[in-house]
Amino acid sequence: MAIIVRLDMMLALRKMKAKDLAEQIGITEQNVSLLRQGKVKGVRFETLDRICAVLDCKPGDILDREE
Amino acid sequence: MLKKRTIILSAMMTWVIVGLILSIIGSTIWVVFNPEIVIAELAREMANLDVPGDISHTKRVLIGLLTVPAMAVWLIILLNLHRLFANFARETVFHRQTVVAVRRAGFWLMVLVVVHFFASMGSSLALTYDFPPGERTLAITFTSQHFILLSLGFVLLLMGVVMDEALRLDDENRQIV
Repeated sequence: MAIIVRLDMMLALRKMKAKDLAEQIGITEQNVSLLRQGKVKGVRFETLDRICAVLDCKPGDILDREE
Repeated sequence: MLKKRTIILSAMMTWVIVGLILSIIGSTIWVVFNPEIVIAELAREMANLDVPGDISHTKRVLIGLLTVPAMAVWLIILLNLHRLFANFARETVFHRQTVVAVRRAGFWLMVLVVVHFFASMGSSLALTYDFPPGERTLAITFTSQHFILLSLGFVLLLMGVVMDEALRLDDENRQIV
């Protein structure tokens, strides 16, 4: 089981840079990079909500689960 | 961020500890060759012990050598405290090395009490083993000083465990964005 972060895909669809996303949601670019690579242990609801608000999507568009 | 005063004080403490380390090395060498101070302390601990004026060379060397393990433990404690203060001076308080230094200092303080206990027992034996029957002494001492050292060691050890847990929580928290 693994949680897949599809932030890269959403950023590409919205034609947005990671740097701009980081600025708009108020976290560091380094943390966005770690999130894109799935190298984090968790995502706060608050962060997820801000990402969804900026990218105009639902949490399910960013997070997926693979067997 | 630590206050500048704390940083300066920590840097000063590292030098104080270096001084203490050097003095312990010096005094260990001195005591090995001149164990009179240990014998006097032993006589004080055992109030009824009549210490003879002339103590054989073998006994003196033996008693002198028995002080070495305790001094070695003191050195380990001081080296850990030196590392601790050096980390404070570099503002690395919640760091793996700092936590390890706190825990080790606590552990070795507790070991010191055990070493003291056996060293004083060994010294009394070394001093009186050839006395006539009835005058041989085996000193078993546990003073308030031992109790304080043991408590301090336990508190430091506990602090290290708590800091370790805090460090782990902090590490986990950092991995949540």
